[in-house]
Amino acid sequence: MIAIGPDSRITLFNTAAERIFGWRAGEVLGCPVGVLMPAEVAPRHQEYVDSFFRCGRPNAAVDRTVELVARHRDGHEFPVELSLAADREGRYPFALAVVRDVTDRKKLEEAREAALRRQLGITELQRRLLAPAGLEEKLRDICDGVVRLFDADFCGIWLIRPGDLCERGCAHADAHGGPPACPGRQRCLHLLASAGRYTHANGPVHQRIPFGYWKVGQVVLDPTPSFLTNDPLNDPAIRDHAWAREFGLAAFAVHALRLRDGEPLGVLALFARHPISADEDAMLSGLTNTVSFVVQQSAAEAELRREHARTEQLLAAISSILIGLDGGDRITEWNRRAEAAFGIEAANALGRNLGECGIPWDCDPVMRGIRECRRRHEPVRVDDVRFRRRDGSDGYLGLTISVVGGDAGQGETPGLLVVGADITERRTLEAQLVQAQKLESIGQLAAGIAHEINTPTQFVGDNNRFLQDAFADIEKLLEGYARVAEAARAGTVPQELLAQVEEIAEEIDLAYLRAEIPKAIGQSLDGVDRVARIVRAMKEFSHPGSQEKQETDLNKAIETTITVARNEWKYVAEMVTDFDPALPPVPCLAGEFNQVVLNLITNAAHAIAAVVKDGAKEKGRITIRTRRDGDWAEVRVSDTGTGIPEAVRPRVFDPFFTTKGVGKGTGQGLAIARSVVVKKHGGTIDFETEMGKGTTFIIRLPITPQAGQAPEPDRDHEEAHSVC
Amino acid sequence: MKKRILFVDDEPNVLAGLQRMLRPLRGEWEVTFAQSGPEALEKLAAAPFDVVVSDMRMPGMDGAALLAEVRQRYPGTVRIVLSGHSDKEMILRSVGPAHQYLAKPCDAETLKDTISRACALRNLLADESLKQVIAQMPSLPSLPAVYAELTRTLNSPDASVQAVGRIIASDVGMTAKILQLVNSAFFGLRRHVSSPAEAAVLLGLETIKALVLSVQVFSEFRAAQLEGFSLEALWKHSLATGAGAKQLAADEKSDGKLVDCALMAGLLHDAGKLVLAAHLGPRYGQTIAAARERGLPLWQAERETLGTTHAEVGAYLLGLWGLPDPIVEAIAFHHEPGRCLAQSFGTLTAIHVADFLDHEMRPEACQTVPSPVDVAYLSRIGAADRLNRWRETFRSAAERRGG
Repeated sequence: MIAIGPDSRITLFNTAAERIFGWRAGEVLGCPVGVLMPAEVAPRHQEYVDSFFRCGRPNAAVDRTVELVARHRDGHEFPVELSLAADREGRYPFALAVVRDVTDRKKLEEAREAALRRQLGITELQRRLLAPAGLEEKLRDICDGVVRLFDADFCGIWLIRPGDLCERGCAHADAHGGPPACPGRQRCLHLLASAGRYTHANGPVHQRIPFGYWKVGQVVLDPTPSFLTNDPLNDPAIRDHAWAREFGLAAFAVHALRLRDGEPLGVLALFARHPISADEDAMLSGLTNTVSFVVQQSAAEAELRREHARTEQLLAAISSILIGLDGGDRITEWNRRAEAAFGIEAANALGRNLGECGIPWDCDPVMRGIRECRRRHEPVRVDDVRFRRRDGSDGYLGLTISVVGGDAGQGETPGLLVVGADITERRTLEAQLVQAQKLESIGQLAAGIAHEINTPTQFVGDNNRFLQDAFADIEKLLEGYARVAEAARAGTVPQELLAQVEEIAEEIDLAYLRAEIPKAIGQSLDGVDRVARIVRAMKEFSHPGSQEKQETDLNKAIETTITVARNEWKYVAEMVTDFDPALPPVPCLAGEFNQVVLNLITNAAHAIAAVVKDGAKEKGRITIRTRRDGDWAEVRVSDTGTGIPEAVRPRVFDPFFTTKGVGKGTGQGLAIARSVVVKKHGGTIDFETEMGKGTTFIIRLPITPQAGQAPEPDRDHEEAHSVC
Repeated sequence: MKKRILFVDDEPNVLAGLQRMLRPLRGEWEVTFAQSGPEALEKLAAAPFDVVVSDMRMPGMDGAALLAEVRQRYPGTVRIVLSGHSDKEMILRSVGPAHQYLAKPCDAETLKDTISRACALRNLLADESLKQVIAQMPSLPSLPAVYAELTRTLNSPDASVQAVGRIIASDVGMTAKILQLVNSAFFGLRRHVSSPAEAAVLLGLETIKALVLSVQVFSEFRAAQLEGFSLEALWKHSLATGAGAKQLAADEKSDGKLVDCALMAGLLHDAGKLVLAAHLGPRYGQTIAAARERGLPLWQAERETLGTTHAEVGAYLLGLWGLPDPIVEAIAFHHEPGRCLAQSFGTLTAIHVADFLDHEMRPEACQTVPSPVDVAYLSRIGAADRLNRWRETFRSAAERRGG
């Protein structure tokens, strides 16, 4: 308590005041109060006092508690809290101040504020660390932050980098002499970031610290997560006291960074020239945990990025069109081939519904395929989807749709992957192949067909030559008869004339002519007819036909083929046909059906030829029967040939399988037959055979389209997907 | 005496047509018909025939088999194939069992013509004087082996250029000679040929066959050493005639068959000289000398002294070997084309003219007086005006070859 009079001289100075200010009462009583204040404040204070006492001007400090700075006897300034009461009016005007030394309190406050600030700083730092940024950057951030917040002189973070190839220049390698291979590899901490005044101390020695070396290397091995010493110079745990002294260390803290399961990740260490309190150490621990988390997360991110990049590379490398769809048929993947094929950039496709991108393809089969795939949870193949390419030309796609993402939750619609390829060329090649095979078989038949045409031509020519001569002969006779007629008109016919005419008749062998001329004419007409027939059959047989199935009279088609192939079978077999007249038209690809029948007839002829062998035995027989069997048309081609041996039976339809010698067919006949009948018509082809008796091939074709195809996809899956 | 001709075909209409068509010839030809191989053989057994004309494709025994039988049992019978196929049996034309090959449809003229000429040729080759000369020879060589194998292989299903190469390569001397020929200026190939297979590819199988046969024939008779007779000169002349004949035939737009025959016939047209030189030795030497002294073409001197000519002897040998009639005929008549009944340009024309032109171009190469060209014959076939053009073609081709 201190009181002053109107002249600002101290009138009262109690014991507490003595203690606070360091003066004895006797020394200050009567002195101006300015001695208790810092020099620069005193004059101003004097003015306030004067004006208060003189003018009664209200003083902001009266009846209040204020914080001021006071001066101790020994000169140092310290904070005080002051409550002022004043009485101007009374007999003895005075101002009474109750002064309290708040230095300690102030210090406490400041420490608390500092701690709060630090905590805020740490929180801020932690927040920043969780934002995406490079790991090294974050580590540097942490070191900077620690140095700043803890007023450290150095902060460094070491991490274990497994697989890191230590350079030969590594101090630890050299330190042990011997080969440069570092014994500490895989058990080495690498300094990744540091901050503070003593970063220049980072040298080869500190850059890499193997486990167990120095405190830093030891903390990773210790079960205790951290180490702190505020007396490094004397602490027995510190080995290199000289080093501590050299740097003027006052505190040295080391914290281990660990994974959740305790596996060491690295170390955070700092040293400072001031002691580090337990609180601060605790804060450091918290920060260390964050750092551990950050490092882990960064490693995980890096791995994820690598995986992603790998996947991207794989996808880019795949040369098929890849379209990924989610449960709602929205596009999640659209690779470069898809861009190229459809002319739609990925940016314009991703996220949009498959039907809304304007993909220039025939949607219906694709949507059907997608529904089918979802329904069956099996890969579905959709072939021959027409589409328009970037350059405007039409093409065909072959697509495989499969379910992906096996762990879709209950009730969730799974995603799909559509893998496609442009099969236009393949289709073209297939069509060409079919045509080429047809031409090949025509070519093989050509010699036979030439014979079939040349032979009738021969005798038609001969007959006509004969008719020419015969007519010339008959002319002579007619002339003779004309003379006879003339003579008859004249009155009589002389005997000589008659004799002459008879002679002519003899000479020309009239009897022979009368017998032969009609035959010649008839046979010639026959011959011409035969030629016409085979030419027509050839035309019908080799016509490329359409790609679409058409209603075909199978009986007629078989007849055509029999005619075209006549030269193949007529020398070795008789041909018997037994056609069902009530067989309805069957939807089929006529050209290819003919090809199949031709192959079967040729095979039958060859089988019989093996038995008949140069006329040693009688001709065999080929029988072709057709009949209707409910929704199916059945065609049976039977021969009386050798039969198919047991061992050969399973391979009969294999491509390129043949039992004939070189130059006699490529073994494609039955393979093609099966492909045409089964794949293109949804029919069946089989055979019955008996050694020594013969073989019968049985073809069944569906009369109605449904009979041959798989059942239609479920109607209840037809949603709005078909809007394309 | 009427010629007896047997027609064989499984198609009755064909036979009926033939019968009607050939009726006008019933004065010269006695025509019989059979519908199958076995039936034909039965008829042959019952009475001899001069000519058998058969289809190729027949059920049971086919034409080739039938004619092989006929050749074996009745070698003097003319064998002709009349077939509805086009290319496939072309191969069988050379040294098959048939003398001639005709394709359906065959018109009456061609048929008559062919049969007549075949008969005429047989007559020629059955000539008594020729037979006598032949009888004096110890033995005639059989068809050279390599050529026989070549032909056999080419007739089979695995005919290929590689097969040809293999066969020729099996005879080292043959290979060397063939390659020498092929790489010579004679063929004017732009690149060096190093294997028979390659040669076959570049020149064609027919040409290779012709070369093989010629090489073998000449080597067969290399012992023929006579005064005034140079094997080397004959070889050169044969090559020139073969190449020239082929060129002429090609220029006349003849079909490939004819061109090939022209080459073969040209190469072998004087083979008869080899036979005579080898087997009659000194006597032939005298004939040659006589020809030179008297300024006669050799063939005339031959006829006078021997009763037959090298043309006929050569034709006989090749006929024996079964070479096709067009070649045999061309060789037989190459000095007397007028005796052949042909009415148009054929193999005979080609080698007759080529033979003449070569001698004309290189008179020093011919030991005796060259034989003049038969202008009357040329007129008959309507080619009298073409001789000059042929001469030019021949010369320019010869120059290109390096003479």
